[in-house]
Amino acid sequence: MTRTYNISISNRIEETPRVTALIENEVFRAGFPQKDVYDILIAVDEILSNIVYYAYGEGGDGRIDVAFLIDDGKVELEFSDEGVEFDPLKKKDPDTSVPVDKREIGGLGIFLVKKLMNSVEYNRVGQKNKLRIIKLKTGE
Amino acid sequence: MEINITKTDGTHEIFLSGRLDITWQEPLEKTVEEVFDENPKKVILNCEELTFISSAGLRVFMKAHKLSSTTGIELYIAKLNETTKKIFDITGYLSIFNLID
Repeated sequence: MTRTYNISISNRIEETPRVTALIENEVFRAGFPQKDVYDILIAVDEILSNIVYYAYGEGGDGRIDVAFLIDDGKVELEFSDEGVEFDPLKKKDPDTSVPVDKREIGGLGIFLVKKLMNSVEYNRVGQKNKLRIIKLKTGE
Repeated sequence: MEINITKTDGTHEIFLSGRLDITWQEPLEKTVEEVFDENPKKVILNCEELTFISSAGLRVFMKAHKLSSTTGIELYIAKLNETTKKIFDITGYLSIFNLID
């Protein structure tokens, strides 16, 4: 069975728990293991923080739309904003062989998203940034 | 999440419980700074009840690491569970911290 959901928030950190709470409840209810739920929630936290901090500039107001789909084997999420064009996948991965305290700052969040999800895809569609992630259910 | 602190004999232990996501980065960073400001001998970040951590949380741990390096106050991370340890491991953060059980 496939279920689809949509939720919109304004670009403020204090709004993000509305998205994470909905996703958590629904993914858990659909029978995904706790471990998958946490991976997804971490990815969602990274993506929403990126949009809140960078998409609309300092103090700029904007919306974030999150659409997601859950079926028996996977969760697909799509994040849309109308902020400045930004492809997070172009960001170079942090060099994990370099000690953390000597690394360049940044890129850690999207790196985690790539590691924890099975697929991450960016598209610029009209005036929108669209980031799509897929997490396949882990076998028991 | 919840943050609790115990102070005994120069050891200040910060107990983290719940989810360390972006909404908690600032409050925890403030707590960590306050604890280091009190100039204990040792600071322990106890993660036994920490259910998950995103990069926002890792940045606070990094901040604690820097404070420890500049002040000479010892820093330990206690009781990382499987979920949180995975995040430290993937990002390479595991190797820079002193871990204790």
